[in-house]
Amino acid sequence: MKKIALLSNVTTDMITSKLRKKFDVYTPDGYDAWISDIMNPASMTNSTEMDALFLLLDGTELYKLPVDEVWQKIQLWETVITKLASQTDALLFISTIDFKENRIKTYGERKYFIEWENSWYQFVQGLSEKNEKVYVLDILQRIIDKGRDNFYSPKMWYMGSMPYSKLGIEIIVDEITLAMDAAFRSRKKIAVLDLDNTLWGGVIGEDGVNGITLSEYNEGGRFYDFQQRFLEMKKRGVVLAINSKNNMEDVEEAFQHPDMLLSKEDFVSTRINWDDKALNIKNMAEELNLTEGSFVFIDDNPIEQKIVSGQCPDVFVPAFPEDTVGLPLFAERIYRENFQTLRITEEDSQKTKMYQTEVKRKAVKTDEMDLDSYIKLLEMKADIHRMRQEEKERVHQLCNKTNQFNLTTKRYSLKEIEKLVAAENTDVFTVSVSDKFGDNGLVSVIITKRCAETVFIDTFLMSCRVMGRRLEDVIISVLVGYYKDKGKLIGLYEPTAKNMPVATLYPKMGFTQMDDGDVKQYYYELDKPYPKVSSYAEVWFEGSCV
Amino acid sequence: MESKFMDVMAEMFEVDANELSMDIEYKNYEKWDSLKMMNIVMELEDAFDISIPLEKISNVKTLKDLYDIVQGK
Repeated sequence: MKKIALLSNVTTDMITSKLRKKFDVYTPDGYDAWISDIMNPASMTNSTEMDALFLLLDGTELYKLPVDEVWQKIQLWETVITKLASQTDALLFISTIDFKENRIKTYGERKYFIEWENSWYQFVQGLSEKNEKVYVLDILQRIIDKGRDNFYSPKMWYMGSMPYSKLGIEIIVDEITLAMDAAFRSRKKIAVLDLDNTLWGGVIGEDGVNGITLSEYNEGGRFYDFQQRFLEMKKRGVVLAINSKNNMEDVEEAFQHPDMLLSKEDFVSTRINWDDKALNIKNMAEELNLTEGSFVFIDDNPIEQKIVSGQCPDVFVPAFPEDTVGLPLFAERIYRENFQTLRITEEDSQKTKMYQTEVKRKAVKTDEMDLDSYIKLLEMKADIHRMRQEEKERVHQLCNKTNQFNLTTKRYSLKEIEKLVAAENTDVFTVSVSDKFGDNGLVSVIITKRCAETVFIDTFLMSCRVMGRRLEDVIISVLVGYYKDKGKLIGLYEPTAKNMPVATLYPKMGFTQMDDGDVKQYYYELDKPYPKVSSYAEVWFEGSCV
Repeated sequence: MESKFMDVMAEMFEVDANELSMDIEYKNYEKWDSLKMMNIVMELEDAFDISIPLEKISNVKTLKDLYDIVQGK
């Protein structure tokens, strides 16, 4: 269970009791104890065991203060939180604040709450842009969505300094859960969309391009807006695909519709046919090198939903809204629960292109072709080097979301990665790969720990998009060459629910098994040269061609 | 109505409904503190779709008093 601290200036018992079902929650005891907890280096809040800290600040109590004292309070909070951000290893989520102020005012008087709100937001967002561990928990937006009358309960406030209604508590628990999911749970990668009555209203094969419901405004706007949400997801690294029972010619026509926001180029893969949709998804997973667990399938037809969820139980199939005016909100919720991440990385904006390239790559592979000739055809180039500062975010991302090709599944934080890079006996290598079809970017991370006679492979992971190209051989051969003066290269395999694909990786690469516990250990004698790999790729190590 | 009320209470106190009786007292039942009272009011309002005025809450001494409020007495 992940460890979190909930720091607040109001009573949070009812929130923490709900959160404890999902997380190991710590909360300091007593009024305004959150500040002294931050200032005390020995407090639980400052413990290195914490995975995330949540600062939930409520503006209700400020109602009584004169304007200048509110500004002072904000300044105090900013100072304390800036200190916390600089000293913690944990992720730090800071809430936006709904400020309340005296409402007994004439029309001509100044309304400060808007300025406080804005000033606070500027502070938190600014901190987040400077410090990669800090994020905004936008509670204020949820309050605005539901309305203060629904979010707060004056009764609870007067009974026990707890300002929220039952709904308010549920929303806060939801926000914290979503933030934890974005930070620590593996995210879905692809949204597979149906077409008729999903991306537009009506059936293209029957209604024709002029008959479908799709327009920028009015009734067709709900589909236009739905498409727009997926375009936004695409910009944030979600890849899109089509799975539709249709004739290709009809769909081509629909893409010519003046208000069709998504274009064919926005999709990485399409299945426009009359086949079983579950089968289509299975094909697509193979084509794109993805597990079914990284799919979300969106279709208005409950029968299709059932077929897919029945035959592909790992695919997430949400219930489609009965009233299609709810489509934009439906898409937003799908995003938040399945795809939302903490930050956009460089890789994210290239995702669609990368998967499109992968499809082209797969297309050159014929059934008769053996793996080695296929790899030769790709003309791969692998660049292995020590992690560069600008690669830190990507390394962090890979450490935390790579499940299949991950021998030890160690989930390092940014801080831990920095420490590993700085440590004297540790090497952090990254591998960037490109081929004649395009650039795959940074796809592999290897962390090794050197002792007198041996080198331990602490972490060896690879993005699934380059699996099955003998890159592991390329990497190990370089390591064997680099550490040739040491005695043994030792690799571990720690089984998880998802890393079966690499269960026998080390023995396949010529390593010898040492013991047969839950965690399997293998070694390679470093005086034995590794078989030639030059036919697989042009290999660069630390700037020179090997 | 009484059994629904008792079910809500049992869930709140995390006990079996048959372990509870109407004469359980706010000041003597260790599981019933002021925080639990807030929780109870919240759950009762939700379960019975009512709004309980603060005045009435301050006068609650036993489970029976709460049940009377829920019944609109």
